[in-house]
Amino acid sequence: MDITITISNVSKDPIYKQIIDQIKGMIFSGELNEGDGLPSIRNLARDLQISVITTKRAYEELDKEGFITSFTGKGSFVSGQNKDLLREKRMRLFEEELKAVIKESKLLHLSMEEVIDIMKFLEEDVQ
Amino acid sequence: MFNLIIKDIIIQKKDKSIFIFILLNVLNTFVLQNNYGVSIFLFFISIYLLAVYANAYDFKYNSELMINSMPVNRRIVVASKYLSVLIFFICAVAITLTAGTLFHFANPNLISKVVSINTIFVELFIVSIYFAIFFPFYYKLGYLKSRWTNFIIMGIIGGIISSIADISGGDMKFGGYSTLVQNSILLGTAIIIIAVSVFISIKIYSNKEF
Amino acid sequence: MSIVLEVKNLKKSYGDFRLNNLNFKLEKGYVMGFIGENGAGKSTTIKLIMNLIKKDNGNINIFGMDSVKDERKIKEKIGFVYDENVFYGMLTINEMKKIVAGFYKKWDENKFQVYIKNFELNPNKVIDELSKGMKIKFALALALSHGAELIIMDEPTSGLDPAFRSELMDILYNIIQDENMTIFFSTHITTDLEKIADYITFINKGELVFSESKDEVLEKYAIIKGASKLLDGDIRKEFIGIRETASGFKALTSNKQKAEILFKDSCKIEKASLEDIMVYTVRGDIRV
Repeated sequence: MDITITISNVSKDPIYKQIIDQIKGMIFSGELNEGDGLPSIRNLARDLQISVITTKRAYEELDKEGFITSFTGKGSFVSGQNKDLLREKRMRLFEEELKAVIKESKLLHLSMEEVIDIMKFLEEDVQ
Repeated sequence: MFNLIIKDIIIQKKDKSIFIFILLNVLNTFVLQNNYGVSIFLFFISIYLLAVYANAYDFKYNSELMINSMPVNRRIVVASKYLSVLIFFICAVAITLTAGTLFHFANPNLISKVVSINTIFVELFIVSIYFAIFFPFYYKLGYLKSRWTNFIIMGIIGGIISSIADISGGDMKFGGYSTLVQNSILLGTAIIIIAVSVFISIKIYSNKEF
Repeated sequence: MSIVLEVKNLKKSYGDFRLNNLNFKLEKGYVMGFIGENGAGKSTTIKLIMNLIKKDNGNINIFGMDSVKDERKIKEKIGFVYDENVFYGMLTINEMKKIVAGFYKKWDENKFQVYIKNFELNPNKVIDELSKGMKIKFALALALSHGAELIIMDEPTSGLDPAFRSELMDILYNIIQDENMTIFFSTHITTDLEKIADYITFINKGELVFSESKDEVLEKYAIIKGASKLLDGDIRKEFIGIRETASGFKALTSNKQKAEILFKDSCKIEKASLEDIMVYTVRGDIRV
């Protein structure tokens, strides 16, 4: 499975977290689907030129949170059982984004109706 | 073990030492006709040369660091040096005998004597004394410093050879002992002093730090 | 998780130098970087592990066996790469290989040929004519061709250019794709370890400074930069080493969390590299 992960050395986030976020992102976006295999921790360490412990830690956390399942000897795969959990997380992210929009709309002195109108108008562009 | 002995030979193959070894032993067939003392000394030197060249390379390339990092017992490393000397000895005898016999058939007038059994045992005795004394110093002091002790031991060897040559005369017979008895004593002594030397060298080398 | 290399309470003195109470462990499948300045005790430690010198005190266990009692069995499974040249220079690669192969029960000629090919080494070239980088690759080819599970390297990249060092890193990454391989690698060039090392053991003047996972080390340490007037007695105690100049100070702390609270608005807090950690620890306080 060829997936693209890019590590930034200047980011505030530790490397293992960057990996976790990027893989989660790919799962949310549908780039990675249930059952897809991930590169082994050693392959990933080599490709990104980081240590095996870092990739191991990233995968262990993703496993703990239910995003992937690791089988000894076989590798790690994107989990299926967690569709609901994923959806719930996505809903939460969605609500965060909406909160930000609402905050901004207040700063612009827009009413809720005006916001809804703008959204209906824009809906056509998004398809 | 044999790996180490072959190593001692291979590292010299681009040098003249092996060539000189063969040459000395071939020339010895001529020297033997007239001068026993010198002949025994030349025989000894040919072996000494091969042994010392091998040690010199071990020193130059710091190879003991590598050898002792590999799965080999220090006892074996020491034993293989002594065994190398034995093998050089056997080769030297073989060369002398072969050359002597060939030249004798070619020209019996020029080469009347081929090296005798007695002489071979005396040579074994001499080579054993030298290396029995030398190796413990070599292992204790290292290649560079042991070169000094070398001169002293050579002196002793030279002395012994002259005495032997004086005492025995042409056929290497001392004081009326039979060939068997004489050679057994020489062999026995050689074995004992080498055994003691090996024991001491092993003790020294086992505690050596690189 | 099996422990491949374990050093306990290791002590050795010679002349002026003393290695004091060294303790660390390395589990199978990982890479440990062993750092310290020249003379800190790295080569001494490696020589003790390889039983080339005798310890005064302590224990070294490799593959669960005592490093002295089971020396021969252990060395079958260790591949070593040293900084010094230890091969007979007059021999060709092939001739030297034949000598080395004879020492190992599990010599794998096919594997050796594959490595020689991948490393682009000419088997008929005389060793004296090889560049330093080629000699290191040759040593590595030998180290990897007899069933070794632990690779020990003593400053393999000193004196070599960055391109070679990068090539060596790629080679090491490939080695550890096999989770049965473990690598222990001493160096004073810490940039090599920033990437590949899983664990770092740092030794300074014969004493252990720390032996931890690299990620943890890099998370704990930080460089604090600020105005010299902030340095009072208490603040100085927070730091391992301080570099003071007319333009301010830079200091190393091993407690980034605390520093973030103490110096939140007054100073810049930055990541410390392994090199920073080593230099500030070794040099201590300096006034420039």
